[in-house]
Amino acid sequence: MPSVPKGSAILVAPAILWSAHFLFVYVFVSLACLWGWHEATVMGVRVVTAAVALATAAAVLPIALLGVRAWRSAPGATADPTDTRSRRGRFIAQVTAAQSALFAFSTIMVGVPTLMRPPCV
Amino acid sequence: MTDIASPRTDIPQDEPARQRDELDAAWRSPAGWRAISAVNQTYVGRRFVITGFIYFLIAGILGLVIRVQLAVPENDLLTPEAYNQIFTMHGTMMMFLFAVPILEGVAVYLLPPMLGARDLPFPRLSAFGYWCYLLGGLLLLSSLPLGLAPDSGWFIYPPLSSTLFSPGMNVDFWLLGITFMEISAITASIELIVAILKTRAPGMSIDRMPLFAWYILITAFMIVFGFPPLIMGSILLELERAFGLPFFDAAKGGHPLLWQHLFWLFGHPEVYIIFLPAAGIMSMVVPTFARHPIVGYRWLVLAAVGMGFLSFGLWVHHMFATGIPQLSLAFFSAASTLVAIPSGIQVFGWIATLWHGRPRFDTPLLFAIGTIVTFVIGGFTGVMVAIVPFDLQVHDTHFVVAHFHYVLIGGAVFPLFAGIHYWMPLALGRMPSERLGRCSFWTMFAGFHLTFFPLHWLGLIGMSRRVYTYLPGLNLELGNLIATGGAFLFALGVLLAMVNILWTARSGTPSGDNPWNAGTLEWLKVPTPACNFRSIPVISSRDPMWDQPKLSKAVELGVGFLPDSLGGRRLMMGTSATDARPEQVLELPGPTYMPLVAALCVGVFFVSFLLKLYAMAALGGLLSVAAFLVWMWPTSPEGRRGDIVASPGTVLPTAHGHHAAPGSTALNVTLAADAALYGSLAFSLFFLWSYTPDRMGTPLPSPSAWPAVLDLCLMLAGSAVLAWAERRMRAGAAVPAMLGLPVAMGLATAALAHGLLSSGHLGLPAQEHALAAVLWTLFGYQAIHAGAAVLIAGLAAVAAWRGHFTRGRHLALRIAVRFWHYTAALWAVGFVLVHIPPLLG
Amino acid sequence: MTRRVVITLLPAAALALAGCSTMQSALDPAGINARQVADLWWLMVWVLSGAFVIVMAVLAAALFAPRHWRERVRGTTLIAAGGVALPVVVVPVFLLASFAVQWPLVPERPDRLTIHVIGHQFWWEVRYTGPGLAQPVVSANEIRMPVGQPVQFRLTTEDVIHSFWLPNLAGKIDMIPGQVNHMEITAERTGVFRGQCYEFCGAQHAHMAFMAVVMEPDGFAAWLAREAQPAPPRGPVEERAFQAFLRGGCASCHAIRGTTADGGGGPDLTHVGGRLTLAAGMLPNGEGPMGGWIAGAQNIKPGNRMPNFNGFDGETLRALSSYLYGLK
Repeated sequence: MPSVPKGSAILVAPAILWSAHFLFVYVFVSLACLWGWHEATVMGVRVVTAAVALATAAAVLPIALLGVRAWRSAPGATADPTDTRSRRGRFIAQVTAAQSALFAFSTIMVGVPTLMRPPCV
Repeated sequence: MTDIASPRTDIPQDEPARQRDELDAAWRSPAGWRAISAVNQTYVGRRFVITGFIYFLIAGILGLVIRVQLAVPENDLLTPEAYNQIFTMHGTMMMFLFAVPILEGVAVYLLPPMLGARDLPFPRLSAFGYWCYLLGGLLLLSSLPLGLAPDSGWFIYPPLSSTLFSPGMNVDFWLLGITFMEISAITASIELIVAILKTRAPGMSIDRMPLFAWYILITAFMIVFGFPPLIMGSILLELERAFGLPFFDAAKGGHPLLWQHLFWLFGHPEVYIIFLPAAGIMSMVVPTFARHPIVGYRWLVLAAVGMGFLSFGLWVHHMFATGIPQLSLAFFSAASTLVAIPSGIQVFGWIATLWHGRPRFDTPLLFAIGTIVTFVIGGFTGVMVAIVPFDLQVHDTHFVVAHFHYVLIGGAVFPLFAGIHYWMPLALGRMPSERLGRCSFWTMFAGFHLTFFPLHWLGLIGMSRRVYTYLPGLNLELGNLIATGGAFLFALGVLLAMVNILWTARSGTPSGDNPWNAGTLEWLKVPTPACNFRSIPVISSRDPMWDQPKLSKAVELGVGFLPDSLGGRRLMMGTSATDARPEQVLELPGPTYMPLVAALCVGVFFVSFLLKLYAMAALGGLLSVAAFLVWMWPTSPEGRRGDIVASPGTVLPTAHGHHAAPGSTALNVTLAADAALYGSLAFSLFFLWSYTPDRMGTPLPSPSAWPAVLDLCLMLAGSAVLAWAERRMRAGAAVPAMLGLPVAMGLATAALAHGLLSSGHLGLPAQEHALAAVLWTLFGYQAIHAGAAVLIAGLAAVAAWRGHFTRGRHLALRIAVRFWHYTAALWAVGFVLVHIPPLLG
Repeated sequence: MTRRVVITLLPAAALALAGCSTMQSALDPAGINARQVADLWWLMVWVLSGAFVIVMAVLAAALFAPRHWRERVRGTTLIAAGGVALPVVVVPVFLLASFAVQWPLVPERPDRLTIHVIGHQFWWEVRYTGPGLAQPVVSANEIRMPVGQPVQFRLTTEDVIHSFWLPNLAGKIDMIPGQVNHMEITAERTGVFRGQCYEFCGAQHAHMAFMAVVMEPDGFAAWLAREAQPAPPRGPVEERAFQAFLRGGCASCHAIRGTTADGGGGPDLTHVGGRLTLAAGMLPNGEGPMGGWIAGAQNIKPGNRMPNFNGFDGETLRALSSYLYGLK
């Protein structure tokens, strides 16, 4: 049987990764625009676009991995009301997996506009 | 681990009558005027709800006055000054004095019985929070009859709210009154988090918690991180107004947008802080009246957590028109529209429950259906205003007024009324009138839509928000007249609901236990006894009242945990956070005037500050500190330690002084809130620093690092000494603590004294430049924390010298040490913040 | 005088505005941005109305449909369809559609006609600069612009935060101390439109409006050339009225180019008679309203920065009003 997650804190891990990504892209773009880095390009790609795209990939990947792992680790359903441990383990694993899906999608949605909008106008 | 407290609990069933009487005596609160010393959750919760409802009625009347003024164009019922005070107070009171506190009050009132607990873990703290709420609210409210009410909008944007444009006390009433009452939001959230995580009935693992508890847990965490930005913003704005620190003054390196960021960093999560508890109420009402367990429990937990986080990524959507780069706007636009997903899951969770159920159309369900209909419309207009170009058209028009009233009344007031009608039998022991309930629902529902639906249209055809009047000839007449008529209908509905409450209290038919046949524990016994539970049950289901038919009987017979008060002690269970395994027995304090006294002392500070009597304010601050020292003064652990037989076969340690007591969790939550407060200040520094065009020029403060290095080293040395003392204490040696605490206090006092004497090293006087002002504020923040660390260490030292610490029972030391490490970390971070940017610049 | 002024002037204001009741409406677009946003609005209205009907139908079915009928669909399927699939499909459509809307905020373009709008409690200072204009042309509370050409707006404030919005033409942008915001508006048809301050700015926020006149390019050029001219008093009658203007202290806040009156802080009056309204969009222009405003500004618009000048005798007041209204 796969290991049951010990605590419930894992449940918010995808959301925390999303928050970190959001904070990074927002602060980075604001500073880049204030200080005029947005003109800079690396190999023909705007630095701002590249950085946000990279950050988005760097956030989506662990969120997705977390989700897949959580889904796989979920213990099977149990009809035994006294088996608190696997009921609760299944609950946490499933909610974590769903959180991952929600926040992976959210991270992508936050990152996508970079490709479509000029950075500092 | 020495004395077994009482052998009597080994045999719980031999004298049930005596046990019941003793429990009752232990938990009963004094009658008459002495009842103000009551700290039981039922009392505090009821006070919160009643006070909040009264503030709601006052704010509602103000709203009616607004609608009367706007009924016809060029109305001269109100002067512009009066109107601006009234609309500001309407918004401020509805948001701060009504919506958040009343929902907290509902949580304080309902959570313990719902979770199978006898009370909240820190009853005095909840009572203190209530008094702060009442007094802060009254302070704010007193401005209205004085004609000095805040008049620059509930968002009080500087520079309109600066002394230059608002020289009167109006804005100070707002800043000080709100900050005062916000203490209650923070204390309540600490209380509720610890209650939910640590005091659930045994067996109630997190997947069996009532959804209401999930929503309150998330809300409370949101308050912990969402309110500090506003508190910091209020502190900065009051410092600017009182002492001329130019945080928001563009002429001196400040920026008015800093306020908007801080305000909306709070202000957007605030909307969800209001919606989530209301959604929690819905998630209790819907299953009961659908007569079916909630469908998609996991989905709803997902939705609540998702909304909790996403709501922190939306604040800039209140600032779309401020000229922020469009890519940044796009991030917030995307996040704002994404909220549609968890909100959709939320609404469909309720619909799905009804789908599988056999609905019974009592008043609470009517309000719940009203919620769904209204909230869906508000949600849809919310998606619209999240789209940037559209928002630029309707921002600050009546379209937005319509949108957020749909969300707030649909998403919070209707659920609240559903909850009021649902839990009225619990609170009053009597059934509300169904006929009056239906009348009030339909009147409120019709009145609401009549009032606010036309406002969408008025906004699109150009009607601005916050206008005391408008010109004829712009097509605005009809919509406004309808809206005003609707507002009176809505008010009539509220009046009918009040009549229903009063009628029920006087002459409703007695309800008996569980009149709605609900599934959750709070309905176990109506009226609820003072101790909530004769004995604490073991839970094995999400809906124990449905799935555990013998529960009520078992609880009454005292088969559960802690059936005996062991001679009049207020005992309750402490359980583990995830699985709710029994861990410890908490002993709670009884009635005391201490919370009221402490709140009054804090009140002296706020009122004196408002009157610009700063010496008196300082005295009030000292009085408050003294009150807290008295409150926290180490008392003898005699007879409160050791193990207790909680039920046959379960021997648990008491929590008193235990290093894993709920106080430890509470400290962590408090420090998280404090870190968010400090983070808001650090954000202000970065924001102003990045906006300062000549950040490489000379007029900026250039603090010298060396004095600060010395102070930081002293603080870190204190940390090291205390870390050592605590390690030795864990091994059972109390002497290092007895010596280490005073040594650390000496080090910090030296750091403080030296820091204050050499504070000139910060470079510029605080009034000269906004950045200098932030540096001074950072320094003051650290200094206050060092002072607090010394006092807390002092309390621990007293306990150490009195010999209260034993192995495994040295909570005071643990708290002092952790607070100390946190303070030292603040100093270290502060050092980096103050001294690294100039190096980069 | 005071109350009567209000009462007699207001119906006039109503009449003046009654001619075009959609002159301040986002749903009667006359500019590129406003038209695109109006299209976006109707798209969202239709899509979301459809969604609303669906949600309400499901709710009604959950409440009233026969049980055996409901049992064919699982509740969690409903949640996945309504709570996840619906927003995941609808929201990106709106976001994509919004990307197609021309963005009103633009970087500064000094080569274009630029209208500087400076917010004051509770009026608008307007300055025209650009190619062919040696000096800024100063006006107040009214904007004139050519049709069919992108016009730059440079938005700043003199005191608190204001917000500049012409609903029929484009979205709004705030005017923030310590910050300059640029926006671009292209009008698609001529006409008279009304704008207003949309950020709460104090006592008279409600009456901080302005008119925008979109003209044919030729007419605009002619108007701008005329507006740039000074307006010294012509003849003894005007000269006497101007002296009353000076004696009354009006020049400490108001300027009339071509005279010694060069006060700042209040609207420039060089061509005040040529404007459609007085008191920032509140009163129709005319001799009567002008006199009423001079004598009773605090009664008409309590809390604005202009005191009541009720020291003039009736004749002087009439002469002064006539002179000012004559400044076309």
